[in-house]
Order: sequence, then structure tokens, then C-alpha cells
Amino acid sequence: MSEADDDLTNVPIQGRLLRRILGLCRGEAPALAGALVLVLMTAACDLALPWLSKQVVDQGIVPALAGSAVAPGLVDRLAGGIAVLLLIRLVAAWGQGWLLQITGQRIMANLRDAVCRRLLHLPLAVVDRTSVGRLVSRATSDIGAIQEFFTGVLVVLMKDAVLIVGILVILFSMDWRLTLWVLALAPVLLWLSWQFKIRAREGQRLIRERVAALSGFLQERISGIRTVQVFNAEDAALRDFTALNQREFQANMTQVTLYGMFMPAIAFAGALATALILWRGGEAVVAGFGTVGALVAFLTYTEMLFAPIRDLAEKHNITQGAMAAAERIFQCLDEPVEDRGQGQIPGGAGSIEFRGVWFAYRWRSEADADWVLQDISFSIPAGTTTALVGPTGSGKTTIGALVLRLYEVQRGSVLVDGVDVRAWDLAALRRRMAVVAQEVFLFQGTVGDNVALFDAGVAEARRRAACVDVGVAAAVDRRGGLEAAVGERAGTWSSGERQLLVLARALARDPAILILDEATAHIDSASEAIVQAGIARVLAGRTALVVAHRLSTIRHAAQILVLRQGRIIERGTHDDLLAADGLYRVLHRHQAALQAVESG
Amino acid sequence: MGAILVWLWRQRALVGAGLVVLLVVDGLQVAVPLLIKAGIDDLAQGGTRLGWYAGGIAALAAVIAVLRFFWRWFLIGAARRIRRDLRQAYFARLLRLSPAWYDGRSTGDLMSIAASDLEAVGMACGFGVMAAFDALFLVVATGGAMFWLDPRLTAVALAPLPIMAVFELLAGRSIHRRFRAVQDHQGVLTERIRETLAGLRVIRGSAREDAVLAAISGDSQEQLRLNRRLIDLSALFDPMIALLAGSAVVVTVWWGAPRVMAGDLSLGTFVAMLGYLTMLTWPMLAIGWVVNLMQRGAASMARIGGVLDAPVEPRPTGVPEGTELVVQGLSFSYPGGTRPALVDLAFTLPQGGILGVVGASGSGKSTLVALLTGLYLLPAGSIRLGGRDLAEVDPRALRQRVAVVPQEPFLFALSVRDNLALGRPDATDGEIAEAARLACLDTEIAALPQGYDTLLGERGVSLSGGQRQRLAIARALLCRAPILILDDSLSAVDGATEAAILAHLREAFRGRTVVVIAHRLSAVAAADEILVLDHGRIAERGRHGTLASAGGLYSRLVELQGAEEAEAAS
Repeated sequence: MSEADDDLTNVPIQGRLLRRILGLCRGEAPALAGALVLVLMTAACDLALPWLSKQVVDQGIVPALAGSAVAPGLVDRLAGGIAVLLLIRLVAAWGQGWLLQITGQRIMANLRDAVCRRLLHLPLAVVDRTSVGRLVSRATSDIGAIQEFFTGVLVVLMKDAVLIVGILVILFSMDWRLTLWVLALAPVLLWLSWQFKIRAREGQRLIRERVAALSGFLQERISGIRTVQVFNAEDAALRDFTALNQREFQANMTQVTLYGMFMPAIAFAGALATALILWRGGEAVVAGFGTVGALVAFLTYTEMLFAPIRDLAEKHNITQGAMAAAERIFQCLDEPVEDRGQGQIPGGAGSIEFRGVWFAYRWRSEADADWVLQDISFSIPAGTTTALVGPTGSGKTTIGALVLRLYEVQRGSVLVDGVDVRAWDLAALRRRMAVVAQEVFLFQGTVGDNVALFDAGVAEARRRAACVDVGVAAAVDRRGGLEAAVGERAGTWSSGERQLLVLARALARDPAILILDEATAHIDSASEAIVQAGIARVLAGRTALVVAHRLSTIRHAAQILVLRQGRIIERGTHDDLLAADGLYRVLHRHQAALQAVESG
Repeated sequence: MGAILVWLWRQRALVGAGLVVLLVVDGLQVAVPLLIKAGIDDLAQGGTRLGWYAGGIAALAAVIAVLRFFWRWFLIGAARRIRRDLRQAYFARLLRLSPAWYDGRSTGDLMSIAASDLEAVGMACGFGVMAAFDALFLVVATGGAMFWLDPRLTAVALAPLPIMAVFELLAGRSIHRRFRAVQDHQGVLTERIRETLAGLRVIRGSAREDAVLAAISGDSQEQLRLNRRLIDLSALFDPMIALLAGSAVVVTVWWGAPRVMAGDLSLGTFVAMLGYLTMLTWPMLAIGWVVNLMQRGAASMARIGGVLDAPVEPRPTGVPEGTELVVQGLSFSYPGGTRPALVDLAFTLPQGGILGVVGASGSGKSTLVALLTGLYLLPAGSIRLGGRDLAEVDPRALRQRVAVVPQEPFLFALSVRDNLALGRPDATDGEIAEAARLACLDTEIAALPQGYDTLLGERGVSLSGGQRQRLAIARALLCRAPILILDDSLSAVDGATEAAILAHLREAFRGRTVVVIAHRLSAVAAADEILVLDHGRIAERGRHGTLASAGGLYSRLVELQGAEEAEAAS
């Protein structure tokens, strides 16, 4: 998992990757074998059809014209044979197309599930290195690229291989000299289509880039239309848009020109083959080497032969894209998952202890690490509240993450209920706590889904009670109760209400340990009073770790830890710390002074 | 359909030239099987002119190749121009439309018009027009040539082809519908996965991985089902077309071969007929294809037209002189809203005055801001600026005089400098730096990797909530407007910085008019007048001192926050 550019599709075709892609098909063998039989049947029909037409000419027409006797009903039988072959081909082609595509979809769905499962269980430290957009593309566009390879290349290639071999055998047996003439054109065709695809791909990349720039611009201006209008910035926006639009147009026209040059050239190469066959083949007929029927069949077979050659470059493109995607997907699947712990589930009321904890998000070696926490030791007895105070970046949020074991400490240990978090069963550990984070995150779905976090085991009464306790019940009822929609597309919830929903989510879990990280930052004063009251009720009897900017909210904590640059520099109760005349007192004075300034 | 024709007409020179070239190409193409026929018939005479015919085919092919370049360039080029010009017109109209119009629409819908609907119109104008005329020319020319060669065989051979056109029309439509369903659901699935990954911490922290995986799997299964519905039909499509095309050949062989054997028909004609049948496959497919393309194009054009033809209010031209704000009998309801957002507001804000507005969420504070910046149409006479009715004032002139710091600042994926200079692209570096200093943002900008040239947004640096708010403040200050509106714009800024900014503002805005909207009373305590809004009405008004002791809503708020203050001060 890295931030390497996903758009680089120039990954060479490697046997190792190919074998692994094919390995995904295990378990679908019967369907694939059936499809293979049908593919072969289709190819056989395609090969036989021109041959039957040739028989009409060589066995029927030519002898008849020469005055020889022709078997009665020959044409009827041959036409009937063509009709039957066409029907067989319909069924075979339909069947193979259906089987292969359905199987491909099934394999990809399984692969997608596997990727998602892996992404959900990777250590956060690994996930953090990659942006959400790129992670999403692992489970979507990368899978799509392999899917395209599967149905657009692998399957077609099998059929093409059979067809090409069959056609060559037939052509050589009919007239090997003429065949060699025709084959002389094949490299020209291959070269042309190859050159075309290389350029077309480059052009396509340019168009994609410019379309992305254009739609990014448009999306932003539409979302920010008020800002644009209020700042009289319409003309500037239109000017920039015009430039981007023109650039997109130019990239498109380059592509139109490219297609305009190569498509006719490729068609021209095909027409040359026709002329060649007519000329050399005709002479052979006259000289008595060949037949008229063979000449006609030659024209048809040549057309059939050239189509796969024309498409070869395109298939190469798709294959390269799929290799790149497969490499990324397999890399993700090979990444070791988060350690699930040693399975201990100790009883206890939720005490927390940090013993000499050192932690860095970026850690190469002991000497080369950006320490976020240094030598942190404290203990929180079960049922009490400890507050963390300090400037931005002092490590407050990280402490909460370590209690949840979202990251592994480099030195020291974190204990919950007297047991190292690494010994705990990971799921049990996290089920014992609830977090209300700085960033409010709601999922698409109903209020109920969000409060219970998709846990059907949380009874409706408990969901309701949680809403009531944090004081959001009225807002929920106004929108239709627990079944009301929330999430990104339901924008009617104020930020305060959203915060309250997240608080309700924490409560519904009935946790022994509660971690509140700036839980009241987005709430207005009137609501804050309600929330504070809610929080006070929630905190009663629970172990709590509270991070807050506003010192007034943590005044009653049993213990306050003041952090600066990853170290605990002061600790004690509110009164202790005020008396101690340290950073806490300075922060406190700032806030008091601010209020004085504002009211003065 | 009519609207599409209008846009095609604007490119008539290119479209016309393209169609003429197309006509010539199709005519030449029809000549190729005739040359093959002549060659085969020549075999019976000893094949003396074979080289000429072969040369003729090659020469024709060369001419066709050159001409094909031109029709492609003319016709597809015209379509690309139409798409570009339509897109331009679309965005120009979006810029002019009012917030009231935007209220009922999501960004996603407008983006989908810009992407897929414009694409559909482009397809209809380009490949649609091309295929329509190509099919028409080819059917006429090929059919004509076939009739000329042998009318009876032609009648028999062509019989299965109309079935192909009908099949393509019906199946094509159905396949498109099912494909859209797959695409739409792919969007749902992608969004689910995106959301899961964006909310990974929440899920992991609460050990809910399995539930989320089950939800993804559910969507994945539904995707599989929709794909199966598509494949059921799409897998049949190509084989069916091959069968129909093949059946025309069968009929021709079955009926034609005995006639060749009887000497009624030359072998060359027979071969040429088979060649023409192959050439007719594409026009038959094209007919159904064109009908579907045109229908989609017309439907898309209607959606684009919904925006292009959306009414834009004529801009009044009045320019206010002076900055005194007089609000009188101002009531306002959002278009389509059930209850009024503001009821009978009245206040006067003299030049240099400070007005505070407080109230709970939904009490109408932000609506007032929207009206003061001319985002919605106003009842005549309800707001006057410098003696001039806002309903008669050019919104541009108004916005030059009023700068806003919105509640949720919107930053663009531009450099810090361009974001700051949004309202004044001509601002000097010195002015920009000064605005940043007043907003307490200068040192943080200096610490960014490229300073003022650092890109913001997805491809650049992302700022914290507080930094965004301060950037918005600097942006508004840079406008040098005589009136500044602060819409709860310091909520994410920490206490010490907030105090510093407020002090700076007082200094920079001495003599200018300020409207401060706030949750926290401390921010409005210094105002000349404070309005307490409740459900769109002014519940109380006065200075901080008077209101605090009046025993109303305001004093209750003071109590709530005072308790906090007292606690903090204790």
C-alpha cells in the first residue's frame, strides 16, 4: 500500500501475476470448462460456414456452368447445413458469453469482498499511508480492470487463438502461395494498429486528465456558488472555465485527428488484401491452381483473420492495465492484518494505565522516529474521569487511540483492567469502550443505524434511551424518529445535532470506558448545557478520558494531565494545577482574559 | 430534438461538409463489390484484366481512406464543438442563477448533467448524425446497386434485414436500461465502500467490521444480480445479430445458387450480392442504434435545457451611495418554505455601527446574512442601503460594499493566495500579507511548504477548521468593503487567537459597519445594538448591559454562559 501513482499502467505482463489472476478462477472450473467447450464450438461454426459457401460454388455452380452433372438437391442440402450451423452457433455463442460473463462477475464479487475484508482489518498505521480515494479504487476500479481483462482478453484470446490456427490451416491447404501473400500484410496491419493504440492510449490519458480538471473545477464552483457570487468572482470563474473547456476540446480534437488517420489506414490495409487476393488468386484460378469458390472463401477467411490482429494492441493495453491493478490488489491482500490479540477477556470495571509509553506514527528505528508521545505514565482508576489538556499537536488524541489499540506502542505498555492491550482479545477490548471523536462521522442510513452502528443486537428501546439521554430525541422525532435518514446526503442536521447523534452512539454501547475527544466543539451554548448535562449523566460510574479545549468543561475531572510536545508536564486536580502556576494556569488565564476582552 | 437541431445548425458548415464527404465515401464503397464482380466474371474470359480490377480496388480504397479522415474530422469535430459550446453556456448560466434556484438542486445532479447529459448530446450530434446519414446513404446506394444487379434476388436477400433493425432497436433500449441500473448501483456500492474507508476509525474503534462487511456484501450481491439481468440479454445480442445476418446469406445461397447454375445470374453478381449483404449489416444495426442515441440525446438535451432556460432575474442597475442600512418591515419566506424565516424585522445600522445578532439555531440569523448580501429577491422597500432600496441595487455593486465571512467557509483547490484574493484578484502581495496578519494567519502561511503559493484541497494541503475560518476572514478583509458581516465565524478558532483577531478587527474596522452574528455572547457584548432573534422575530433588542438584566431570552443565555464563565474564572 503506497501512494504510488495509480495511473501508471505500464506494468509488464508477468507470469507470476498472470498465474495469480488465473488462480482466482479456482472453484469455477465446471462453468469455465463448459464455457471452453462452447467457445470451441463457436469457433468451429465460424470456420465451417465459409467452407460450406465454398462448396456451393465449387461443387455446384462451377461444375454446372461447365456443363457437368451436379448431385440433385446439393444447394438445398448445403443451404440447410449453413442454417443449422447458424443455429448451433447462436446457442453456443450465447451460452459461452453468458457463462463467462456471469462467472467473471462472480469471481470479481468474491475478490471485492476479499479486498474489503482485508482493508477493514489492516493495521491503521498501514491504512494511514494511503488516501481514502486510492483505497476505494482498490475495491472498485482495480477490480474493474481485472474484470475487463477477464472478459475482454482472456476469453476472447482463447477463441481468437482457435480461430487463427483454424483459418491458417484452411488457407494453407487451399492455396499456400496466396496465403503467404496475405500474411505479408499482417505485420503491416499489426504495426499500424499497434502504433495507433499507443498513441490513442496517450491521447485518452490526456483527455481523462483534462476532463478531471474540468469537472473538478465545475464541481467546486457549483458547491461554492454562493462564495463565487458573494465575492463577485463570476467573471474570473467563467474565464478559467473557458480555458479548461478549450483545453479539453483540444485534447479531444487531437484524438479525433488520430482516429481519423489510423482507422482509414487500417481499413485500407484490409482493402489491399482484397485487391491482392483478387489479383493473385484470380491468376491462380486462371492457371488452374485454385477454384472460384476458394477465392471467395479466401476473402471471407482473410477478413476473419485480420480482425483479431487489429484488436491485439487493444488487448495488450487492457492486459497491462489489469497487471497494474492486480499488482496493487495482491499487494493489499498480502499485507498482514492487524494482530487480534491473545484472546484474554479480563473482568474489571475499566481501569486504564500507561506505563512508560513511547509512540511515533512515523518510526524507522529508535534513533529515527518522530515521537508523538514520550515516556507517558499515568493511571486512571475505574469509574473516574481524567482530562487531557494541552496545545494542538501535543498528543491528546493519540493517547485515546492507544487505549483502543488502534496503533501499537513502540516502548512501554498500555493496560486496561490491569491487562496489556496486546494480550486482550481485540474485539472485546474495543467493545468495552466508546469514542466520541473530534470529527463527526455519520454513515448513510437511519438514525437507528447510526446510533447502533448497524448492530441489530442493540434494541430499539436502548437506541431511544441513548437519544433521550444526550438530548437529541426531540430533533430526531421532528424528522420522523429512529427511521429518519442521516448521512452525507441528508444535510438537514445541524452540526450540533450531528455531534449529539455521535454521543448517543457512544452511549448506546453502554461502555465501561468512554473517550471524549473535543466532544462539544461544534455545539452552541444552549445545546452545550444540555450536552454537558447528558455527559455528566453518562460519565457517572464510568471510566472516562476527556479531551477539551474549554477548560470549564473539565473542571471536575479527578485528574488533569497537561501535555506539551508529547510529554506530561503537569498533573493534578484543577485546584492543584491553578496553585502550581504552570502551563495550565497560563491557558486558564488566556480564556478568562478572552472573556474579559469580549465583554469589555 | 428541436433544441439539438438548433445547436447542429450553428455548426452547419462543418456538418454539411461532413455529410457531403460521407455521401461520396458511401458511393465509392458501393463500387468495390462491383469491381470484385467484374473481376470474377473476367475469370471466365481468361482473367486478362484482373490486375486492373485489383488496382482499381486498391485505388478506390486509397481515396476512401483519405475522405474518411475528412468526414470524421468534420462531423465528430462539429459534435465536439457543440459539446464544448453547450458546456460553456451551461456554466455561464449556472453562474447567473440565484441561490433560490440552487436550493432545490444537489451538486451531484448538476454534475451529472454536465457529465453524462452533455456526453449523450455530443453522441447524438456526432456518431448519431453520422450513423443516421451513413445508414441512409448506404441503404439507398447498396440497395440501389443490388436492385440494378438483380431485383428479384435483392427482394429475397433483404427480407431478414428489417428484423435485425427492430431487434437492435428493442434489445438495444432494454440493454441500455439494464446497463444504467448496473451503473447506478455501482455508484451506490462505491459510495458505501468510500464511506466505510472514510469512517474506518469509527468502525475499527467500535469493533463493527463484520456488520459493515455484511452491508458491503449485500450491495455486492445486488450488483451481481443486476449484472446478471444485463448479461442475460447482452450475451444474446451479438450472436442474434450474427444469426440474422447469416440468415440473409442462407436465403441468398438457397435461392440464388440454382439460378447461377441455370445461367440466369452471373457468378460475379452472386458474389457481389453476398458482399453487399455484409455491407448492409452495419446500416441495419445503425438504424436501431441511431433511434436510441437520438432519444437519449433528446432527453438529455431537455435536462440541459432546464438549466439553460432557467429564468434569470434582470439585474437592477442602482448603485447605493453611503452605507447606512435601514431595515423596515422585513419578512421573508424561502421559496417553497412552509413558515416564514423572518417576520417583520426593523432596525437601523448607521455607518460605523456594530450590530450584534444572537439566537438559537434556526432563528433566522443566516437568512438575514443571505438577504443583506442580495442572494434572494426582496420585497420592495424592506432593506435600504445608503437610501437606496436593495431591490433596485445591482447585486454586484452591493457585494462590493458588503464582505461576508460565512459560517462554513468555502475554499477552492487553488493556491492560498488565489483563495485570499477571490474578491479582489488585483490585490498586491502586501495587501494580501496584511489581511493574513490581521486574521492571525500569516505565520501559519509562512510555515506552509510553498507559502502563499501552496495549493489547498485534495491535491494540496488541507487546513484545519480554525485555519479555514481565519482564511475566510482574511479573504473578506481584503475586499475592503465598508460593511463586514461575521456569521459565527470564529467558532473553530481557539480562545487566545480569537481574542487577538477581535482586537485586530476593532483596529482595522474603526469607522466601518460590522454585523456580528454569534452563538457566544462574549462576541457581541461590545455591539451598539444587539438583536435577539427567536423564530424569525426580534424577541429583544438593546445593549448588552440592558438585555442582560431584562430577564428575557438574552439574560437566560447570559445565565447559561455566565455559569461557564464564572466557572472558568474561579
